[in-house]
Amino acid sequence: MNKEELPKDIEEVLTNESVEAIENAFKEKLELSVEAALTQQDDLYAEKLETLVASIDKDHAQKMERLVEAVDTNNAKKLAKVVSMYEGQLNEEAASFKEALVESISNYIEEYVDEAIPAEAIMEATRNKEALNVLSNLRNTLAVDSSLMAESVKTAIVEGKSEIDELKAEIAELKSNNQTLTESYNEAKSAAFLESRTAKFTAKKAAYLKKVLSDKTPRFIEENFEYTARLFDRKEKEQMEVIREEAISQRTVKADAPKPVVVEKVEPSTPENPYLSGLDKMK
Amino acid sequence: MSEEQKLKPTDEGSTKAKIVKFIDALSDENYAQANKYLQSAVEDKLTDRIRKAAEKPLF
Repeated sequence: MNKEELPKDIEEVLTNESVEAIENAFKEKLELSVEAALTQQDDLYAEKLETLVASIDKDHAQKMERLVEAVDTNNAKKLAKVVSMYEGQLNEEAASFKEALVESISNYIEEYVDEAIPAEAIMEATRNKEALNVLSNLRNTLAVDSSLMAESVKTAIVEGKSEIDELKAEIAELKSNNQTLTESYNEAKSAAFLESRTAKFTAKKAAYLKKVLSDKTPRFIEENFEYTARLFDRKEKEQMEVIREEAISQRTVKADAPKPVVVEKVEPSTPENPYLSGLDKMK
Repeated sequence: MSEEQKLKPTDEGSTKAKIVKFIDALSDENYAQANKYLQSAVEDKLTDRIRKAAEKPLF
């Protein structure tokens, strides 16, 4: 501060040194006051800052807690989903793997069995076993034992069988011949029977009876001859009836008309026999 | 009754179950049981083949 800036009364009293001293004192005082104020302000601000920091910390802590909780929940959910998905996939894969493994082992065993014991060998063994069983059953059925299996007995059996076969063939031939003979005999018998029974009938009736009964057995002919003959008679009668009715319906002359009497005297043209003319006169 | 008639048809499922048990026993290092189940599965397969062969008529 300059001395000129002071009022004139004070300017005369105070010297330059005094003014400087006062000025220095003021400056020191000011500095002290500013320092005190700054310190106070600093304390105040520090306190406020601490409060602010504490509140911010608390808020941040709360937010952080919520955030951590939300992230935890989200992650836990995702993890659970991932776990369930992997478990499902694992189970499915395990099941399919298990099936594939079992199938491949099964196929391997089949291949091994095929290679170790061929199908032909199994087939042959099975057929042999079956044939043995059949043979054993046949032996039991035919009572063939070891004594019957000897060579001499076998020959005898074979001979016996061939003889039986020959005899069977002979019997078949005889049966055939017998059948032919029987048929011929029956035919002849039928023909003779028909001939003898139809001898007294008219030609038409005899032909009808022969036509109907000729291919039948003698017994059949014997049983049915009378019926057939009667049937023919009835048919004939019916036919005659029909013809008679037709004739009556078509006639021109009445049945009750007087019949003209025509006397015709025939003169014998041949030479007269005296014996016959004598008989005529006696009438 | 003949030998073939005694053969019952083997169930495919039963054979596979035996193979599963064989694998289980093998993973448990129970080799005796594994051997038993494998033997049984092979017997099943052989029986099946013999049964099929016996079904064909001899004549």
